[in-house]
Amino acid sequence: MAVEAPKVKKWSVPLIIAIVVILILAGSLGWALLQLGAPAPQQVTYPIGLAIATSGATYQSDGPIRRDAAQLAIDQMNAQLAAAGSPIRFQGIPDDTQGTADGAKASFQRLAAAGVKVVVGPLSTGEATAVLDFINTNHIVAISPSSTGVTAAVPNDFLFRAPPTDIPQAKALSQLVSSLGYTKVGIIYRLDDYGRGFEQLFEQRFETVYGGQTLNVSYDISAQDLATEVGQLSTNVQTLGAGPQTAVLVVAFEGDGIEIFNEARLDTTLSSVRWFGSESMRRSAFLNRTARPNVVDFVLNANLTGFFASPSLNPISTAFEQAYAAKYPSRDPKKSPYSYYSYDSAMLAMMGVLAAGKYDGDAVKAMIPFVAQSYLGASGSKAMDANGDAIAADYVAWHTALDAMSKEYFAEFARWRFATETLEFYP
Amino acid sequence: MAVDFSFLLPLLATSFGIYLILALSFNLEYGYAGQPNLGKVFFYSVGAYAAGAITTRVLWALAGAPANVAFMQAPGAAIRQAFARSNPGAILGLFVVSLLAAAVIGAAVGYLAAYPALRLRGDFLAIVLIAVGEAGRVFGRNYEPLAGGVFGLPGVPNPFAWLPARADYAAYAILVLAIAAGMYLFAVRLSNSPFGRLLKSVRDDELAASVYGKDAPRAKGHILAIGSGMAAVAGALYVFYVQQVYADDFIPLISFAAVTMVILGGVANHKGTLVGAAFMTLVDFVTRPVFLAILGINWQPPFDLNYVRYLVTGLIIVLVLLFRPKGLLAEGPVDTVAMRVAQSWKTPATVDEPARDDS
Repeated sequence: MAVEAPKVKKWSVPLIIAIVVILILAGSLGWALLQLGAPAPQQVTYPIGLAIATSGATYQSDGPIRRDAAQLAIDQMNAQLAAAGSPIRFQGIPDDTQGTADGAKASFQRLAAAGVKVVVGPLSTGEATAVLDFINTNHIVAISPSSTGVTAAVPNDFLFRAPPTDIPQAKALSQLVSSLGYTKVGIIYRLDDYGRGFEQLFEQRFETVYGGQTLNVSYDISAQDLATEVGQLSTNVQTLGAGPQTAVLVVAFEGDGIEIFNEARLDTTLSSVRWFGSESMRRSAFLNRTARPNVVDFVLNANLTGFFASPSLNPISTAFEQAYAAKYPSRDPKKSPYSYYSYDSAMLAMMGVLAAGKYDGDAVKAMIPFVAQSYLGASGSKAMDANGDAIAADYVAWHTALDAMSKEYFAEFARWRFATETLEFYP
Repeated sequence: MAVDFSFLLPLLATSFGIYLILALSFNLEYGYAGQPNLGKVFFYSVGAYAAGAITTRVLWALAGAPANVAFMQAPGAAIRQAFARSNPGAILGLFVVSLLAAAVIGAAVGYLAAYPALRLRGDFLAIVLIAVGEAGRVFGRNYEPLAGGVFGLPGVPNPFAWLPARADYAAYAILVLAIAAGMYLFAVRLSNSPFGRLLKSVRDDELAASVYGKDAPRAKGHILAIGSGMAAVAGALYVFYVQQVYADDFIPLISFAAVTMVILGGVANHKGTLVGAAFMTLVDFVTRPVFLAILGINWQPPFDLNYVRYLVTGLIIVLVLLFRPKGLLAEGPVDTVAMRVAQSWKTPATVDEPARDDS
């Protein structure tokens, strides 16, 4: 009996069409689901070099505070970019320049080797001039948070400077000293480019414009004992004639400033005259009664007076101080007046990159003056002149005083108008 | 993050070359002659000042010395840089002249500095020379007409400034390495020469050397002049690299860096100095945060990574002094033709430690 072979079932056309349609629908649905769960566009990280000295005689105490201020700006910007869903992030790459020209040059080369095109730093004018040719030929943007010397003011280069040059501050201070009735000034200054530069500018202005008389003494920035130099200052003040028309100008940083005050408080001549200071002298360390009651008494008695390029208690400065204290509880940004400029320098660097839309030295260089024009930071306005240096805004005069609670503070009492070069005392 | 070797290699090579010359000069003075010249940075600065002062002033004159531009400020420096870019012959010629001038002036100053070496020994000489180095730095900071004092004197162009960007630094690095290689060969030949053996005899026993009729004070004066001339050449090379003279660069740390390289590599062993210089150059680089960035590590340690470099350097020195007090490569016998012939006569089984040649 023949066995009938089983019939092969034929696929009907509608069934095939249905399967194809189902497959297409399922594929589409799967693709759509995959899209829903797809990762965000790939994150792009732009490095920001922090060529900031954190060692060496000049910057071992100030440098870390300034570097952390720049890093704080980077962290804040990254948090904001993340909240906005942006794929862009910035990475701070610190590199210690050691405060030397050699160190700065090597630092910029190292950062360039790591692909860095935008750098916050270096700190001093000597370092800035050392890297100038390198950054210009290799199109690397540098924003210095504290170089103020006129020797580095060059138009159309890749160096920008967040603070104004020393010239307006010297003008303001010489005018203030003269208007308060002082005709003779004994000057003590740190022998570095900042101290010497500011001393020269002040002396020239005070003598030629206001007919004043000065005698100066410098000190080595690495010296630990300044008794000899302070003794010489006392002799100079006596030579000028210690009296109501004679004052002292001190151009120092923190450690050297404390040493000078500690020596000067033991000197009857220096204790009997008024003291003025450069903007680098507005430091909370000089008003820390717990740590140095004798120094506090001295600066109060000497009525230490000076200028600063931005008013205290401006809301952006206060926000910066609070954020800094929250992130670095063991450090005080007020110990380094230039920490405010470091914060702003980093902000300008990042905003320049964002505005340029690409990480390219030429593009960022083109955008920074534009961004700075409308940026108001922790250290005030950052609008820039043709040299890429911040245009000096109005300067605020401060002096040491006691508030209603008998707490020491820097009381603001006058404003120097940059545009008109006039001094206005507060009522 | 990718590494851009066109920046990194010239940096490492230039740094290594300059420090190698400095360390070789210290090794000749201390390792072979027993003169601890811890004022090395002074002679280094003499070369830097000489090269910087000559180059900037001649270039300024060649560029027409514009009266309305400040010579010592950045605009003046820009004029010198621009002139060098368009006049390769001028800057290369100035480089050679500056290098020679630095060597001669450095050697002359070194010979003068030998006078205290005739009266002082060991620690006292070292202290005097440290003081000389500091006095030189303080003078440089205060005397502005020479090189701008604390402001520095910018605008010493790279001798290859006329090459495209990056090629200029690469070419300069090769030149520095070539000069360092020349200095190395010079140091090796000098230390294996009769004069080198005389130096060793003065180092080991000055009285004995004198008894044999050797003029020990003269030998010390000569080696300090030679070492100082070499250090001045290193200073001149440094100033053409940094492109400015800056008084604050000449800190005692530079002297101690050279000392560290020699101690690490091995005193009185030029190969050791070579190893020490290379090792310290690498340690300096790999202990910086930028090295982590190049490796793609975005890590913020709870401490300042920059200070680790100092700790690591100190630790290495302590470990080397504890476990290899003679350095990584200990002092060997002099390498003369006679010594080689004598060694070839001996069978391996009878090879002894060669006697020290105190001629």
